[in-house]
Amino acid sequence: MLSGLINYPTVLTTLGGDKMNENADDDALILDVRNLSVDYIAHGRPPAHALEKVSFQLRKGEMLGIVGESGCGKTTLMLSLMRLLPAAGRIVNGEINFLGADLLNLNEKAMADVRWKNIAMIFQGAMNALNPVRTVGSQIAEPIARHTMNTLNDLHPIHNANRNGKATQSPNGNGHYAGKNLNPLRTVGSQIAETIKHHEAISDKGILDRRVAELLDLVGISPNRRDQYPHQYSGGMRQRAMIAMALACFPDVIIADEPTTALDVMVQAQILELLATLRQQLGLSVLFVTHDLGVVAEVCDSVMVMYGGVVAEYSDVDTIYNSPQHPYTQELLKAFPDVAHPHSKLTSIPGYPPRLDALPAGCRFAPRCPCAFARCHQAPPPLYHLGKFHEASCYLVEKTKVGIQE
Amino acid sequence: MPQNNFWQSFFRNRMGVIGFVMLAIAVAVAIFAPLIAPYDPNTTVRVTIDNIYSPPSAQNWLGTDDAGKDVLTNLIYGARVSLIVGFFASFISLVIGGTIGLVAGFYGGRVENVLMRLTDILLVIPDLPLLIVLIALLGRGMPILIFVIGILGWTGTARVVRSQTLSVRERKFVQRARAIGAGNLYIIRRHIFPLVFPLMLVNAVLVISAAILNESTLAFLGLGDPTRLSWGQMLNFAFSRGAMSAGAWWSLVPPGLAIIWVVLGLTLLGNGLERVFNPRLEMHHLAIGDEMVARPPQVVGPVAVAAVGKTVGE
Amino acid sequence: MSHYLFKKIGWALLTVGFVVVLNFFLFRILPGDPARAVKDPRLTRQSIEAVRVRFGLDKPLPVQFLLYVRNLAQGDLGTSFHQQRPVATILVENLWNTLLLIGAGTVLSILLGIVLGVAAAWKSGTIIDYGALIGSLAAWATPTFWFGMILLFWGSSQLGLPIGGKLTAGASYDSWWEQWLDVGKHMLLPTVTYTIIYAGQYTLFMRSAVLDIFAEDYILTAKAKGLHSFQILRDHALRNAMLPTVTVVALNLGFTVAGAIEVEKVFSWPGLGQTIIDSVERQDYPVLQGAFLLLAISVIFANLLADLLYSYLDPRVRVT
Repeated sequence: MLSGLINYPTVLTTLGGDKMNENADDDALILDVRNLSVDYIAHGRPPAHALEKVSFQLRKGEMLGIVGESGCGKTTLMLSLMRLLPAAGRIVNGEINFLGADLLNLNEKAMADVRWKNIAMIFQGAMNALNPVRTVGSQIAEPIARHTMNTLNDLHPIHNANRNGKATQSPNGNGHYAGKNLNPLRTVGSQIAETIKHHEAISDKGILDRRVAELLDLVGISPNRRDQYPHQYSGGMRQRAMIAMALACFPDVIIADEPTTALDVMVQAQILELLATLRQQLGLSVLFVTHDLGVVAEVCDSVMVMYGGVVAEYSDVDTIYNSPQHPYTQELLKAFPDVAHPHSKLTSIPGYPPRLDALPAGCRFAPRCPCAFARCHQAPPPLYHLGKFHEASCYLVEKTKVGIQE
Repeated sequence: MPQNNFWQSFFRNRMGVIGFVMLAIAVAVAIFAPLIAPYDPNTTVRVTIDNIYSPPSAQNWLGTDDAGKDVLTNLIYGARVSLIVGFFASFISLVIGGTIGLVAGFYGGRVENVLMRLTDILLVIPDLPLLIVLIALLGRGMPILIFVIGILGWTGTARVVRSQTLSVRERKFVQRARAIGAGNLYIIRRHIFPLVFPLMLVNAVLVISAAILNESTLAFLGLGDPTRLSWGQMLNFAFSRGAMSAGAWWSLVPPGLAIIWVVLGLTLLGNGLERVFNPRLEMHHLAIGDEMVARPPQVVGPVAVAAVGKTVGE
Repeated sequence: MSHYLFKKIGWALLTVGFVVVLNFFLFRILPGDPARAVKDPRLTRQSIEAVRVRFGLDKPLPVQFLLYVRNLAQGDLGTSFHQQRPVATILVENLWNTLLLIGAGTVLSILLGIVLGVAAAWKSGTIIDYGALIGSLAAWATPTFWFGMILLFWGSSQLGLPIGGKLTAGASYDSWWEQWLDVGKHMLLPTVTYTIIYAGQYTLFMRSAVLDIFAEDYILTAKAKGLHSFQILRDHALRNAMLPTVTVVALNLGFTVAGAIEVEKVFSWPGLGQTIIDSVERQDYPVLQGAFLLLAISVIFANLLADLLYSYLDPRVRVT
């Protein structure tokens, strides 16, 4: 309903104009990642394959959960979508088709235009994501100033959302966590404003202030805290400010990288509720990275389970929970409490994800897999298509399912 | 840290190796001075107007100084004074700083507070004036020089050792040792000191370089040991006895370069060692460029084809 | 704010107290105390008597200390053995010259160090970075006095610059600016010496501070926001990197005094450093004692200023 309001950056329309028509039958498709492979190169050592042939799609309004233990390549995947890998990272294969254009074809300058304006990110641990020496408000406003004109944008979706109803204001959680994504030396407001200013070319202070106030209001922070610094915010509020910042330019895709990890349970619940509410109000498309399957069940439409840099299983949320095919998915589910069966035993998976520079020859999960057999150790299984929207990379599915295709 | 690993990562660090070689050369020169030096520094020279500040020649490669002595010989023997003062003074500093750092870090509480406050105060008081005052009051000579440089140079060591001790103290094996009733001294000696020592060594290298610079400065200011010709002393004589007006660059330049050589060598070595013992993950978020996308040439898609066709058509 | 301020001021006062005590006992316990000084042949009988009364040499040590503190509080640092003038007067004359030299040199070296350090971190791993790194390490390893001597040797013979002092001896000036021009000529080489040597250290500090900041998560956030690299540097890295640098500069102030002493000696600049060296040579202990005290207190005071600057730059300290 809101798609008409999105201004695609000019680079994308020129670059991908034809392709967009080509995909007319599937115009809800926003992000189409194909065979994405990323290596980390180190001096004098063989490259570490951090991601291998990862493919997934994100549609308008969809919330896709990306699940796996730490070190499974989730963050690497998210950073490569924005082309923000650390210096050792190399995207060695694949395509990131965003609204029909391959982001990997853009030069750095064009990519900078896409960042935040089209794809924004809520980092894990918001303390360090904000500049400590700048006000929160100024940081929210920062990107807005680059893309839009100096007009008060009453048609802005966020404005509409505010009319529809506010996200609930909630008490502060405690701020004892180590996130570092806010600059500690800048006020939260300034760090939000920065975004707006940057991307929407707004230089009028009044308009900018109003936008920042709206954004803060939207995430349940009193706008008069705009000129405070990140350390004056609680952990939950910093995460809210990060969300406000991510919304600043009303991006097409929001990447939420473990947004609740470092928060205590109460604040986690509030942040999740906020995200769910905002998503409904604004029709956001979200990539939700977490290691918590319980959270995914609550808020996501579809799930991609990752292990050791590859896709283990990918389907809608019902399928993943009700008939998981990959042993890793099954083990993950066993590790989380189930409200329906409160007395079932919780088990954790013994061992750790493989080191990326010493991957097993066969299936990457084989060394820890309770069902592994000889073939699993010899060659990695392909990704089997098990239905209209269900994929799993495990040899076992050959035995249990018929009519599968590789 | 296993031996192999140490040398491997040390040699991967080129600057550190260069520093090590520079220092090794200086130490070798100091040790083998009698074999290398062209003259005996202690022979008395009959001074005539011709051999005061005589320029470099076949007999005197670096010319002669104000007393008609060979500059190269002085330079080679000067290495001994500079290095001896540097090593012994920094040894004193290490013992004081190490003890204070260990005690403060291990015992914590009020002891730590008092010791670290004292360290902070000494850190603020300007070094060189205090050195000058002490020497003016105590008198001149190499032992005094070593002593005063040593007792003022420990503040940095104390801070490094304390913070390392603090982190080691919280490790499991220390807590376990304490739980089974090991004495404090035993724990410090067996568990903490071995883990703090490598950092102390790194620090020592930097303390030596500071001590050598301090010695040269004091000697230049005329507060060195008047009976021993260190590099600073050579510069003092050159400065105060007319080398400038005589245009005798050969007695000005070499001692300074020698000091730079040793101090630079020590600094490089120290930085190299620090990187081995205390590796820092190097991240640079702004060093990201287009080279990040390194995929094989793409199959030409419809857009590109259209674009190419267009260009050809026009 | 006030809590931080009080703590820092209290700390500075405590340090001053320590320096006063140290200063008193060093000169009493060690050889060269006034008790021996009264035997100094240069003194007249009256002045010996004056010294005796003022220092209370016939009274016990604690009383002597109180007397010392009382005199100090009145700005009375004693009388120079050599010049027969109040020490305080001599020191004040020279203090301004030293402040002029250190002030110009420190400001210039910090500016140069920041520019070079930021450039090196910004172009990390390039020839600019290595050049700045090697240059800075070399500057760090170079004795200040030696570099000054080389510059003096070269400047006086090739550029016709004065060989030392603050003003040309015996010159008369038609206007104040002619006089300042002469001072400027005399100051040029000492300031350049000082600036280059100390800029090396500041470059190293600033470079590593900026590199540390570049590794912070909020820099990644800024990059994810689509900000251009230069904007990130300007808006997110510079001020943050200034914080550790201010701390280091403050800690380093004690060393800048060393530089001043060396430079003043080489260029015969009539400052406190020169005063200290002269008083050592002349065994003029009241002057030495006073000069040390003044230098130490100046550094403590400058440190306090740096702390205040820090609290201004860091909102986490500013608001308590």
